[in-house]
Amino acid sequence: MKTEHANWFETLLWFVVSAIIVLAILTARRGRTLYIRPIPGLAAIDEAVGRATEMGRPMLFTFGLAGIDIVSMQALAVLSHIARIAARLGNRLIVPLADVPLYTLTEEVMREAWAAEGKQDAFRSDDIRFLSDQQFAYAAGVIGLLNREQVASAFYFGYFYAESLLLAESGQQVGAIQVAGTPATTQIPFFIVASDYTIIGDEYYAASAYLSREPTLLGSLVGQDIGKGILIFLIVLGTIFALLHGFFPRALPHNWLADLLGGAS
Amino acid sequence: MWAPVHGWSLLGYVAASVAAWVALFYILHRLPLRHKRILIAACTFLAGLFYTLEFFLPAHSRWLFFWGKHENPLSPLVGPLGDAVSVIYGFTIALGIISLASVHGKAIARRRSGWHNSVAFFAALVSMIVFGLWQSYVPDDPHRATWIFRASTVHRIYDVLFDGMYQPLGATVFSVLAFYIASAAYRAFRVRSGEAALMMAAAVVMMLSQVPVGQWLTHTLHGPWANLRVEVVANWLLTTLSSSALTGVGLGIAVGGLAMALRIWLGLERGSFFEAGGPK
Amino acid sequence: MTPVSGERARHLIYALLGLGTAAGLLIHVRQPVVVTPPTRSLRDSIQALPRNKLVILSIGWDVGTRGENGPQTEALIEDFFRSKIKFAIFSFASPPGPTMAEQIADRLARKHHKTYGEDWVNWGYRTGGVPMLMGLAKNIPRIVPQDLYHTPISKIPVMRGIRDVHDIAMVIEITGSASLDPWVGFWQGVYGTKLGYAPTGVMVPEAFPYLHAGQITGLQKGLVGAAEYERLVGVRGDATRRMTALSYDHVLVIALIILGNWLAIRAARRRQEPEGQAP
Repeated sequence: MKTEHANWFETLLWFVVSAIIVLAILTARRGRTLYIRPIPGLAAIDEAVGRATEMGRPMLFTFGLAGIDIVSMQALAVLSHIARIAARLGNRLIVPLADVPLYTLTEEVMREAWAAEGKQDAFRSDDIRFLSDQQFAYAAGVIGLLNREQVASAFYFGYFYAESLLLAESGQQVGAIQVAGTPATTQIPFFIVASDYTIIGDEYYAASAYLSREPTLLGSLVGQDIGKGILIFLIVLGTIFALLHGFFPRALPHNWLADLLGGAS
Repeated sequence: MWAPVHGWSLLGYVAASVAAWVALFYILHRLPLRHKRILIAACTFLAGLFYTLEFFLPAHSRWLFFWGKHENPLSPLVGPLGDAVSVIYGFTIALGIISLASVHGKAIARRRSGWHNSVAFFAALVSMIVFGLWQSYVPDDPHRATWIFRASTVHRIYDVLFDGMYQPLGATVFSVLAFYIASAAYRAFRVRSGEAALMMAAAVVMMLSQVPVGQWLTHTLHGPWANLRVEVVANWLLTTLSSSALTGVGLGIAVGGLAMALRIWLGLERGSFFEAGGPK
Repeated sequence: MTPVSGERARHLIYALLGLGTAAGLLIHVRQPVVVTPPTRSLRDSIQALPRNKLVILSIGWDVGTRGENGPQTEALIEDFFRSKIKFAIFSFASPPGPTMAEQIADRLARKHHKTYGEDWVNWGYRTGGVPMLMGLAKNIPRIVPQDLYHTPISKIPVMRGIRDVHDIAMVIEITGSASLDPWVGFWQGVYGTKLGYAPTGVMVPEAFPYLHAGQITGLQKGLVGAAEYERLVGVRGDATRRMTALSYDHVLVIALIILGNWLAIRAARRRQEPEGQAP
């Protein structure tokens, strides 16, 4: 019978990976130059904002159905970047929302972005709208906004479900340039088909580091990669143990590594 | 400690909570921005610390919990804390309604283009609230009389709103997805390279395996050739190739999420929301 | 640019899809349904459950995905009623979910002469997400003090003796969203509770890592999975009847992909042919 809490190995693993990430952050803060490879989707954000401004049409940013969690925190970081550029260029950025607590955070981020560019008076609070927390009511609302406002650039960052293709295809039909990023692996194929640029997998969590080039965030990326390396090592080790246990049971009568990791032997 | 209270005790607790929250909001409102951020960071750290310790400390330990029954003292608090989070989330319902009413109210007042849609919004909002609440407190009349003041009329109107309008509207929007998939497939699925051809072949096999007509195409294969049946090949693609790739992507996302969570928890996150001054 | 392109092509595609699907829903062509291992595994694990415990049917779907998840729910409830397995309808992800599932259970109960409160119960929708689920595992009556009809749980016969996770035989999540993870993390991973999964078709590839790891014991793969399950149970329900339309839709999409590529290749070749070649 399993206990309700982590065993010693899981606790140790968590501490080791976390410590590596924190150490990498602290090392990066000491001025070490860190490299991050080009991510076309994120590099296209500035181009998309500029294009919308040239065409004189507004932009749209949506979080999908995410509530307040780390996915939407990352999306807020991207929104902040886009909002600053939009404020600088004097263009509208419409943000429809499906989560009310997120609405309060979004308004603060947008207000601060406009204030940072010295354009508090140009900030339109009506451009941040709570639509509905029901999936398809929200999707219908965003589709309506895309069509009525004739959006020139659309940004989809957050956690999406079935409405992803509805939004992206509608944006494609109004001729918007679209950049999408989501950790939802089931929706990535739809965004790849219907959007111009898609950010996949853990590139999503690299977005804030890529856009801001903050040493803290770049250091965190390095720590993440080392953490992934440790997990890959454990996967290879686990595969070897499983093979030994399966084919040479006398050599390894009990797969203790599988027990430690909490999986079935 | 967490037993429900009733009567005057309940009223006392509610009054004390309201007073405490009013005082807290007043203090928060008067705090300078710098102190607010410190307070937010401290609350974030304490909340994260609670769940981290509750999970990583063992349920029982004579060494760590040398008092009483040697049980993890944080575990009994998980339920009440979850209840408290639910209550706080409940307060945000009003905020959403206020936002919607503000946007649509202004549209009607200023007669903006499409203002009639805003009228429809208010009609739908009010009717759903009224009849949704009313029907849950009125007993259902199994004989379903048609007089306007009978309880069953409330249920009928609610049924029209929920079963007759809300459900079909939601299903209709979802069904648009099927049309969009078809138009996206025609427009965007282009075989421009060897890898794209491989992906397209896998996609066709997967699609055919999902439907009886596809399974029928290869149902005559027997013996060792049965391994080439479309549903067998699709199952192999899902279990061997797709599963491994998705697990890998999932691990990367999980580690990325852990890093982000650590940064927020320890106050290391940077960005306009997390520090004064904002991004460049 | 393909010859039939833009708005006209889109409208033609929509017409072909819409009219064909409608025809497929009206005209049923019997097709053999092949049962795949994940669906068989789900049924076998359900049949092996002890009859003195409760199964939680967690409804994570709402009106949008009713087309797929509705038949899945119906196939499972049909099996529960036939196999005399007591179950509780519950949701933490979809407020209208329990009401819609109750409509299905009501209809099937009349067919199988089952009684609410004795053969099944509806806990309704509970907010609170993960902390609520953690609390549910430790004390079910505290988290669910009354059912969907505001009846105290203590007065419902099927809830007698159901106190916590150890009185739950299995949880089956039927969903169109990512509502499986909390069960995996806080029930299956902690208490070893059996988990079944019935997602929409688009979420099936993501479910296989869980199946391989043994975190879920079986899987109903979208509408096709529901048809397979109906075949195992021995009924011809909604899922089976919709296979005609589904077959048509899939074949149409494949044909459109092939057509689109053929037209694009033809257009590309025409662009490459130089005009007015010299002798």
